[in-house]
Amino acid sequence: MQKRVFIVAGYNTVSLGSGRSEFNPKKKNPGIEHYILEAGRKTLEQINGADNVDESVIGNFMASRFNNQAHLAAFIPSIDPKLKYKPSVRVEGACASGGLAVMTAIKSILAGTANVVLTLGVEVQNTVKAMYGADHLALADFYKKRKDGHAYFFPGKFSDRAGAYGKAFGEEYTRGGMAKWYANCVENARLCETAQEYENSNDKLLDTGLTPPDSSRFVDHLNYTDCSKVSDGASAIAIVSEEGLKRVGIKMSDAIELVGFAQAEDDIMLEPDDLLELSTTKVAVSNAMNMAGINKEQLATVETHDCFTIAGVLATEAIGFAPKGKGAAFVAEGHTSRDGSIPFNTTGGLIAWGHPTGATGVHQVVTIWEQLTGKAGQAQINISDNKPYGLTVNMGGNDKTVVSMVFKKCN
Amino acid sequence: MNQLDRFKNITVLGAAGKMGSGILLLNVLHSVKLMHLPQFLGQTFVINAVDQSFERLQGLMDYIKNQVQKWAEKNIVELRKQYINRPHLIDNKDIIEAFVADAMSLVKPSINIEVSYHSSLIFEAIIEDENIKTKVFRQINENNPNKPYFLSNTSSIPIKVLDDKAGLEGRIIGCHFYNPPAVQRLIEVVQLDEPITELSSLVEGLAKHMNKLIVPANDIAGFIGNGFFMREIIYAVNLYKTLQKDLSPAEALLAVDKISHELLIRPMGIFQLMGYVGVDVCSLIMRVMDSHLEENLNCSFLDELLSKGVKGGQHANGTQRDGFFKYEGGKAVEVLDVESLKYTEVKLLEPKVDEYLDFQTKVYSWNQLSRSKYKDQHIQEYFAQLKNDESKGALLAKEYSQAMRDIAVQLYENKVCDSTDYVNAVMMNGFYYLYGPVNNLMD
Repeated sequence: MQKRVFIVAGYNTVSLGSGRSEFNPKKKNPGIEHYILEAGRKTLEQINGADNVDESVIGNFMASRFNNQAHLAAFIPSIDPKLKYKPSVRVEGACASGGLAVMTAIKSILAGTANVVLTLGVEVQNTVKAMYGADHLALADFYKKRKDGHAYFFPGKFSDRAGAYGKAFGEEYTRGGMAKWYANCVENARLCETAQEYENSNDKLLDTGLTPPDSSRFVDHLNYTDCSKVSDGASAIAIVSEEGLKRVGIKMSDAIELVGFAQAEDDIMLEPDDLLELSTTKVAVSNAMNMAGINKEQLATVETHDCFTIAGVLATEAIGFAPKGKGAAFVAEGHTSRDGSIPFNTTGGLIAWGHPTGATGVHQVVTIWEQLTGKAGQAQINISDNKPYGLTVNMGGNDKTVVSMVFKKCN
Repeated sequence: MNQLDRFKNITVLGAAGKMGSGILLLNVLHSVKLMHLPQFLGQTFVINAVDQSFERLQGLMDYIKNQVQKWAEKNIVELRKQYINRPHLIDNKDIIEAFVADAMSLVKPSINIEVSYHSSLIFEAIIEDENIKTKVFRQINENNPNKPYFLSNTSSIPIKVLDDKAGLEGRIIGCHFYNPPAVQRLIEVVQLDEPITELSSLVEGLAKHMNKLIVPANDIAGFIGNGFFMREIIYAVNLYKTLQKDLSPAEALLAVDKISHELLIRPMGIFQLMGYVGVDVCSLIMRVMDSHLEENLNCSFLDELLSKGVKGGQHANGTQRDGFFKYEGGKAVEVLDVESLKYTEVKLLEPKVDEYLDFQTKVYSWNQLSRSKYKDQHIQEYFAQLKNDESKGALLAKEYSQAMRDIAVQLYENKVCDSTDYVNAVMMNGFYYLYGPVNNLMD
């Protein structure tokens, strides 16, 4: 990289939705402007105010449908009057919108047009019932295929993947990996106060995860517990240059450094070449890791896009931790648990922290920043000196837009 | 006429009432499914919703639309398959809206009974009055060339009486739905001695489609449900009077309600249930039954209450009106002194009542057990302990339970039903009891 890029001042709002005791779908819940304001202000507080910000990026998937609201870049000045007339841009790439927001900020730093970029992701989805939300989310795939899709379109797509995996490698085997993924996520979420499943008190998580799917109620190969949460939330972080880091007055030890990033795009109109593989994810991760010049053994933790438990299992293979068909075993054996060889999704991931779609990519970076700077509170894992790296994988649609980034702990 | 063809034009009488609106909703969901069957594509289906005023009908249409929409939302996975051949309906929202529009297009609200002259099926859910029902049936029958079938929701009047008085030539069957019809699984079906086979099988098919459980009852006033309920009221009122030797009227009322609710693990106590149904309705049913049965069945207490204006019943949204109790968030918080008509807070009277009952057995709540996988096991354990409890409350609960068994056995002996299993089925499915009155829990 022609310039050093640092990440500082992360913040996550609560992921609001079912599971949180303060959530009541029948009452009026905070609007999208509330989340933008809260996350934006909390990051500004950490970087000594809006004066230090050169420009802003906001990632969001579907406010135009969920909230009847477009033109989100113009909400940025509401965070602080000092952001008025400064550049601001909204980016969209379905559930990878957050990752694209971070990447857009990175490019501004690299291009030299900014030294401090306020970066947000936001989504407020609990404005409609699940079956209508499914319509909105289905727009992350090719609309001409919607008619033939399942009522719950994306659960249908990943159910197909889970079904194919089960057919190829054994149904019970597949279910075992997915169940363990679910249990890990909830256990991790219980350690993070902003997580949607923070209050989950089920003492038989694995049994719950092992429940056979009932296709008469939902999709063929997934339970509700295999799906990410329907969430309202925002995350914010500042992307800064070396000069920017000095300007905001943050110590190097409270920052992490971006050492590799990649984005890969596939044709939305085509079906996946192979249901057993996240091929776009594979390319994006490989490119990011190559750019960073590291191997997977140097990673301390991974935040991957587990929109469904099967996506978590498939990600372990796409990243290279397990060969094809062995991801379910890799997960079931506990390698991805918080005390395993490579802890994944240490605050619950999309399954249990929550999935405010446009915010997720930013939330992943905030989590890596927390872990590598020792700010993860109860959810903190051990970061050893010989494994100072963290990886994010943020996916839009059915493995169509993927942003992957590698970060390093700063000394 | 083909059995299903009869559904092409039906009428629901009393459609805006509590029972009628539910019966209408079930029919709308049934007919909208029929109209998508290949043999009926492109044909017209009509459901006349007849009631007394435009105001009531407007409220009804809002209710039906709302309920149909909720149904469609819940069943969207199935609906997408049903609408697969309509290429312009893509999003779930499109399909749900189309379904609601299809369903609502069936319903023709009217205040004129004449619309039913074109129907082949008449669902009746009007006031429980023999003369009014008879008059309406006769009028429709005399003007309708289709020889329609009459499906009466009467809960107490013998079907044979209605048939004879209205001159229906046997084209009538009792289909007693339980409140609310859209939710309750039970239909008590009452046939004439020589039923029309086609009508019987039509009701069977309809119940199956509506996912309802049919319990057959014989054609004796009150049938199983009210046959049981009215006799229980008489028992409970007598107990209430007896307990007044030791307790004030409000305390006695609370005690009887507690015994029949908490100590017998039922969803509500007998006085709360009377209030839910409405004292006026209970009184009316009691009188109808009394007029048709040799047994002397009356309860002057009900008339006394009515003369004092204690009526109960439900608000339009299904919550209970003040009656024996005042409610807050569905919970009874004040109890009525029937003598002085003053309410007292339940929590002020409860200590005295609890001390009087001195109940020793650990109680499970109905709410808790109804959702438990181990419900049957817990009920066994509970009654095993109750059996050995010698407290006043336990003795009263055991006597109450025995009296309920006696009522059920009496219904069987009086040939109201062909088995006490049917009494159990009605009480468990229509009244949400967790166990039937005829059981071996304390043998």
